[in-house]
Amino acid sequence: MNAVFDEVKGRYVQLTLSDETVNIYFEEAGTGIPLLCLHTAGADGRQYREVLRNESITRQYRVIVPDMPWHGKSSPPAGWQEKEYQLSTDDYLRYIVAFMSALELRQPLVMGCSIGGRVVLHLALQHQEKIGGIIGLQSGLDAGADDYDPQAFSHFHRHDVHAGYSAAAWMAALIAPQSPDNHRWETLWHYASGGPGVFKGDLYFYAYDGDLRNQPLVIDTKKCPVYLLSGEYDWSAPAAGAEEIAQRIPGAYFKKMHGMGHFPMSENPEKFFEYLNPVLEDYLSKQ
Amino acid sequence: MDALVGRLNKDKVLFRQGQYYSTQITIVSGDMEYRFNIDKGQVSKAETDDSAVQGFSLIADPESWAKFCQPVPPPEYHELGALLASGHLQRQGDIQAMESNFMYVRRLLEIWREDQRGSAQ
Repeated sequence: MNAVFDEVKGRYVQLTLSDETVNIYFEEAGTGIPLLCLHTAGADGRQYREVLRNESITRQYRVIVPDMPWHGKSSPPAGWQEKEYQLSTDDYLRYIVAFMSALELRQPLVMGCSIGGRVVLHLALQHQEKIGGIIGLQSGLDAGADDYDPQAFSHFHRHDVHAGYSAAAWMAALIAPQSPDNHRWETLWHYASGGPGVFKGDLYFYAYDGDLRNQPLVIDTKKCPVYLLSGEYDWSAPAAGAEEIAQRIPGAYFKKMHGMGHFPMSENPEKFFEYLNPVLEDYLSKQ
Repeated sequence: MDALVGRLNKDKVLFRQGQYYSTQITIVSGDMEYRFNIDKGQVSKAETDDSAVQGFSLIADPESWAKFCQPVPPPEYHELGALLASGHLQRQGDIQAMESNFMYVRRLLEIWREDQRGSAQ
């Protein structure tokens, strides 16, 4: 048997967040500048598998991909059966900062997609001194916070609907038609296999609590470079929104990814690297 | 329409999704209607005046459906959810029957699109 192994290693780190202990699962590969990768709402670190496996990246970057609490292999804290999961901006930042601290990551480049693409902006605004730069994938300042109605997401968590299929079917609408079928369906599988109520709970941050429209976007891009990459088929976090952010942050980089949707790293990784590699090269040149 | 119904009943995704699903789905494009009865996943052509089964309609203008059916549809027109979220498609009737089986409905529409593309050639 000719087994094919990659260089990706996975393990757990225990964190205490707001008096709760959580076991955070993360994977990593490579050596060099830490590149912390944050997944989308209702999914997990599997979305970044091809980034972890990309040797042209791992030659120069230490790629680190955690599953958020409640996601993937990072089980919820004890007592989950009595709680409704709801992701706030403070909770999200607390987890990321604690994770970076636990791994002693110094000035990591932090890349996030969707909710991750929003939270990297929060991170740069509130903890600029802790990070080296950000890459926002499908970043947006808001996602309809003025019309926020949790009932609109009820089909993602109710007893008579298969929430996994429902989430996957809706996420199918955010994937570009050009994306290969195998990657499309694997991306949907990530959604189909999420924990009960988790996707809906993440959307509280995405659609309401993480709203950044009324905040001044004061980020010194000489100290903390800002890169924004957005797929043209994303109607939820449209490329025009990221372009607007780039216009408000002097020195920020923006590129529209043609033939790409909301999940660049998992729906079409080969195409994604065409956009990501120049960003990573540029960041290296600034070190 | 008969060939389309045959394709729908042979589709493995619909078979896997629809074994407990019964409703009526109508695709409306201007004056044209494509009406399907779904009985535990089995698809049949429904008569226009058949109102015995409660269901829902997916309504868009012919121009929007034409974009949806392009070989590479433009953004906002490439998927059922994109049409809905962008306001290019309206739904009427038993919305819960659609939302609770969204994977089935998007797949049905995908096969309908393939049929439309074939008809256009």
